[in-house]
Amino acid sequence: MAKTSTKQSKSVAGAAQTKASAEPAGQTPTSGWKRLRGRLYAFSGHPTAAYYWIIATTVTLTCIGLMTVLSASAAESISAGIDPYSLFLKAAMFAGVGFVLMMVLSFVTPSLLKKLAWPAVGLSFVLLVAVFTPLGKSVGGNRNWLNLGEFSFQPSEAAKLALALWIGMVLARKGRLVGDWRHTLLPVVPVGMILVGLILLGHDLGTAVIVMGVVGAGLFFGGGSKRVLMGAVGIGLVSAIVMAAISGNRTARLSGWLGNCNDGQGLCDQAQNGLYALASGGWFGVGLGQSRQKWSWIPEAHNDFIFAIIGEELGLLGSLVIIALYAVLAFAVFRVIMTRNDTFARVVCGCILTWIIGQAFVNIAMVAGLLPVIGVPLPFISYGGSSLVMVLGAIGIVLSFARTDPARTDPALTEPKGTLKTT
Amino acid sequence: MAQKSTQSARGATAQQLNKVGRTRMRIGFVLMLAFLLVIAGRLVMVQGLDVGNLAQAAENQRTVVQSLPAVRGKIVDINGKVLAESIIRYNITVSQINLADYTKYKHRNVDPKTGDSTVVEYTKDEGLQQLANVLSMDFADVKKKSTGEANFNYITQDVSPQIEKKVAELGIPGIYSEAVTKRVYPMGAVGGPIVGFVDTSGKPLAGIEQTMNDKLTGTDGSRTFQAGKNGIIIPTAPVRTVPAVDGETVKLTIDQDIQYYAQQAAQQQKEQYSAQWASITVIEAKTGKVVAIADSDSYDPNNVAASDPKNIGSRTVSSVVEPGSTSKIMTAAALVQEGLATPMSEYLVPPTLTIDGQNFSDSFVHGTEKRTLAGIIADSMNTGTVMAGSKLSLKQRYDYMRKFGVGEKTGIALPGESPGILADWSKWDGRQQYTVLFGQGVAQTPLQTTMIFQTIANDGVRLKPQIIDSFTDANGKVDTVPQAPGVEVVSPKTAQESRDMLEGVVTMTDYKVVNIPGYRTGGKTGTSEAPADDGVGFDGYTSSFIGMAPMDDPKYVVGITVQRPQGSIYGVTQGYTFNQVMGQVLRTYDIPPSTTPPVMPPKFYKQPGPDCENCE
Repeated sequence: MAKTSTKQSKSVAGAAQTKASAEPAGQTPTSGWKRLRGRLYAFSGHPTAAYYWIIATTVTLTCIGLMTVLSASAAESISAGIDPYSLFLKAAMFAGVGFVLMMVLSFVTPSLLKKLAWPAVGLSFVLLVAVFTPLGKSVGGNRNWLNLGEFSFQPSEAAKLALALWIGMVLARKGRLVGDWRHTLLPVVPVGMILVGLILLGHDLGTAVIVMGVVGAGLFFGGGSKRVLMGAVGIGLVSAIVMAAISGNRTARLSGWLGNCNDGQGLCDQAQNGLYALASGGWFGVGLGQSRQKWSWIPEAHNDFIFAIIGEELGLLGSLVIIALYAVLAFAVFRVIMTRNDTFARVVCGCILTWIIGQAFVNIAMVAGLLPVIGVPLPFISYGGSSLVMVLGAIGIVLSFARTDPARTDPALTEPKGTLKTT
Repeated sequence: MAQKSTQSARGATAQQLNKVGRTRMRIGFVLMLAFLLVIAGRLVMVQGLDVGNLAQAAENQRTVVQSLPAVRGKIVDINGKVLAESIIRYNITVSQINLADYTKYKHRNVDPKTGDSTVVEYTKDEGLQQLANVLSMDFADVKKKSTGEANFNYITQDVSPQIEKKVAELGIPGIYSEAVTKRVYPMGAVGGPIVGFVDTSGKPLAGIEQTMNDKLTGTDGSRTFQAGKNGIIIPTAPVRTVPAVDGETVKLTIDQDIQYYAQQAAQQQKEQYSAQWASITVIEAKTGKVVAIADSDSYDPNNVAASDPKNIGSRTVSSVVEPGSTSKIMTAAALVQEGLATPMSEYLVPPTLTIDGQNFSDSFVHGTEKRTLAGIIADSMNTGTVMAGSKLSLKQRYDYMRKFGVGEKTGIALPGESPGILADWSKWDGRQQYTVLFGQGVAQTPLQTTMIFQTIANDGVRLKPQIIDSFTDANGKVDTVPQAPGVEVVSPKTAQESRDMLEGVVTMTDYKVVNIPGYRTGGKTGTSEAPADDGVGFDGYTSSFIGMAPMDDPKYVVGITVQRPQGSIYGVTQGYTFNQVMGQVLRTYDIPPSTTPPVMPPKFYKQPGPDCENCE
């Protein structure tokens, strides 16, 4: 298998390289952007190197996450009189499960993924509904958990991955019809709305926003109608504001963000202490494990506010490294998409990328005080089994695109590739 | 051809589709990078530049400064016996809110023999019952105090460390203790007015506690650390400790045993004569050190409230009385110093003396007598004293009294000292200019009067009464208080002759009560009318005796003053009390008995000498 992949990569890489070297020499020698891109591509290696970049950044981010979860949770665990390693061990176990899932999914072919799309969405729907049965449970005012005995599971995380797959499959199958507004709307928007609606019923605005973003990104990258996309953006914004306004919990968070700290819920306090932690970190941080703000000043420091702890312990340097890792991951996934050059891969990977980078942005912006406190975990890093496993699974799917050739794995896509060659 | 065009149409569509997708993908990717850049920029502002100085705000929020209270210094007597010290006591407190969280709690019982531990579960009421038992309180009372909405309430205050330990071992949730320092006075009323006391907040209100407060008060230390929101000390953050510097130990010159003895004697004097108050002062003659300042009705600093507020200060330093005849020794010393007389100067003393229209008589009836100056002093004759003293100019009378310390504070380190009352000589009226010669028309504290005799005993050098021997700081460094320089009032020769006259009081009169076997003693009685409290006329008497011993080289001066004794003034004497107190002092300090015979200056002259004045 590895052998095949190397062979394929050579041919694709060869094509890319010829293109990159031909362009500056040919028509536009003064195009700085293209030259820069060429250099960047040359630096990042063969297009297949993206495969390794993705694995490297993913594993690095996950390990930093585990490390910080240990640091952030230990203080609170000790205060609560429980084993300081308990949360770390759980997170490590989830990371292990996630890595296995990632590798397994990386071996699944796109055609099989397409077949899995419908069942995945169906299962997500069932699980999201199950949240409102006695199986579900609420955490911090959000009813978006399934209680599975020892562990609990967040169906909304699985829904993100399922939607990414399903939208990719649907849009790829529509072909050029997708540009028509009716085809853009149906069936993606209704299905997406149902799932978002279920998530909103559980009062999880953060996840709902991300899911909406994923749906929007899918339509955008899949070539959906501009009018629909513009409308969707408008409706999304309006509904997010409305939801924020009618939910007491959200309203408090928002007003806290807008400078009114008398919410009585300590949310503003949480945001304030997040900023305190970041500022305390300074340029180089107070040192690994030495965060002061984790000592009960930031509630649930190992969760949504984990970036504050990273910022405090590792300083601006560490924060920027984290952001750089996300950027590198985004670039690598971007290269996979551009190399694959088929709708299914682009939509699926684009959705996943939007999900990861979007969540990272919302989370860090929230900690840094740019956005109100909405419960969105930091991908790979925050404590949370469902989130971690699903994100790693999503990376596995990206990897499956990275390590295969569309021509060999998906006969339906042979033709566009052939067309590309003839031009 | 048809097939090819279809194919190319499909290809074109797919290509077009991919082109749109690729462009959008690039836009998307750039947008993502832009978002990442935005947060990176924000982080540079928050973390790198710390706009808003949040790091400092965060540290301020976490920083806890804990005061490490300095222990107030001890007050000890000359032998190191503790007169005042601070001890740790505990208040048992409750957080009613925290306690309310538990209807039951687990407690680990450890078997003291085997060391095995068992976990027992108690209900809240069982716990409170245990607490009530340990504190010897009523269960209902404990229950009432620990039930409510308050986060802080006292269950009881001022319990011993042993009790506090037992309370802590009960492990009842929400029950805490707070350490407080308590000032205790192990000797109680012994030296109470000297030692003074502090109020419950630690503010010194009397005595040495008040005057030496700066030395006794230490410097509080502090511990600065960073704490989690729940109060836990953050182990990784720096802890800065400034240790407390405890207050200095103040060592008094007071001898607690003599003080006790003198206080008993003063109390006995007061009660025997139903007097208003009595005071006994013991001074070391050569150093001015105060061995004892005893006041009747000394209060117990441990329980000040039980005492009459009038007894709070030391009357020995704060009350002024007319000294009476004890002042005659100043007149005699001044005459000798100025060369106007010797102890053997001769005076023909009439039964009553009329001078400048003022009549003076004595307390005993006598005819015209041929008296020596010593004889005038020995029998305490007002007539003779005025006759002899009138040779001093008014200014000289005033100046000598001032030099002997009348009219100014002695400077003893006790609060509320009175300077006494001595009007300027230019304001003296026709009678006062003579009465001051025998101690009327002037007012002194008992301490001032005693210091006049210290001057005579110390070869004419008046010393400042010293009550602080030394300070010992927290490191054990001893800072001994030096003797303040004295004031030379009269020459050693004058002092010696004055002492001879004082010894004559004991040896040449019927006043034989003063007698300490083995020791030569000398002294002077004083009786004067006590000005009424309302300032109009006189009301009762002030009776005193100031003496010194041994006369061959006086070591100690004892001054006794009894204010407003009841009954016949002629029955009042401080002689026995002097014998007891001075005897106790001499024995305590192992003063060798006198080896020289007592001086017995003749009271009368046989033939008028060549320098006889007013001799017929």
